[in-house]
Amino acid sequence: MSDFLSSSQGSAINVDADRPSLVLRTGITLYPDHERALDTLLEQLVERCPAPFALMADSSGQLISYKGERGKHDLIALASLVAGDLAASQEIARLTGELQASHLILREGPKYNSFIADAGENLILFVQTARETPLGWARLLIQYTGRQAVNIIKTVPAQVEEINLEINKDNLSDLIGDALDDLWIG
Amino acid sequence: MNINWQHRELNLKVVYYGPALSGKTTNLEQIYKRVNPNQRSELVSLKTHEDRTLFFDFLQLELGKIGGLTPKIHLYTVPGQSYYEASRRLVLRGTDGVVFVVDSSVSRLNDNVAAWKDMYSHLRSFGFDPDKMPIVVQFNKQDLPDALNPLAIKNLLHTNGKPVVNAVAVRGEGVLDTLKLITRAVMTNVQREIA
Repeated sequence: MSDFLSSSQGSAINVDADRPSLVLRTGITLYPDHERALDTLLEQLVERCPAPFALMADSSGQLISYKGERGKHDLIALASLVAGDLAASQEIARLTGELQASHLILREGPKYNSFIADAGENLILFVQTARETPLGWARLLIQYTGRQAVNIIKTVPAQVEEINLEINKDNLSDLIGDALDDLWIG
Repeated sequence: MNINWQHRELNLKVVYYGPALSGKTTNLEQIYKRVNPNQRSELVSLKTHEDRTLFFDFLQLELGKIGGLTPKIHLYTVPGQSYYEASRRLVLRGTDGVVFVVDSSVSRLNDNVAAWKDMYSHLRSFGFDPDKMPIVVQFNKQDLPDALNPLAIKNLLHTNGKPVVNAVAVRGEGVLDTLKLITRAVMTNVQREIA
């Protein structure tokens, strides 16, 4: 197991030759290749739908990527609310015996329709489409995009850049303390 | 938790948990007021008409670089009222750490114990081991005339060596210390998550 806090010199990380470094046991690890592939995927979704705006977050509400007209959207807030919305909807489905493997919420608006869909266990898509866009077409594309996104993050790139983190057990507390003190204006 | 190596970002989720009116939202409001506006998001609150938390409050903080990574900490609160149990469980999903906010008033003793047990049960339902999860216990409202002393609360909740902080969140006292402790605990846990 790699231990990126263990070296007082902040050495490069790659302990196990059989597997790339810095893969989280839980949650998502996004490498630059993942980021590029997910960006392309979202771009294709936005073009083919067409959708004025699309956002990808993880299931705990952390923004991963977005495409389209950002407008005045507060993306950080939006990602957390999208995750909350999906989680609440899934729980409603569970309580009413309607839970299924994949979940999609449609919200019809005066100008746009909004879709929230899960993509595997870890990812969520939020997509706005024009009212004129056929719902079935949008649904098909969103679900396809979700499946592709799952495949992308499942794959660990063959070439992973070595990361040199200047961090160790001894200075971690100080670094965090300093970072929070800098943030705090009292 | 997610790591984005393209942007060198480490995204972490911390949930403020505790009984109704213990001061969870107050903690986030104080953080919102007291941190550099350039390094925080807007405070999102899903509230009832009576100004009580309905689903969650949310605030993101962006720390300066630590070891080449920019940690972004996503702070959430849960609704404390007993009938929002299903919502509380949902907010805990994917959390990397928990701040348990105790209402130190002796009259809230049973509520604290019930919320503590409730938290343990929900964490277990997600496959977390609460004894390994970073948890910081904040003894809030220590200024109340009937406030229980910290030792009594520790014994009552069986906090088992978890870090504790005395606080009067409404005055901002103990809020930063709590945030420091949970951030440190979560960051330390990151090393165990990396394979």
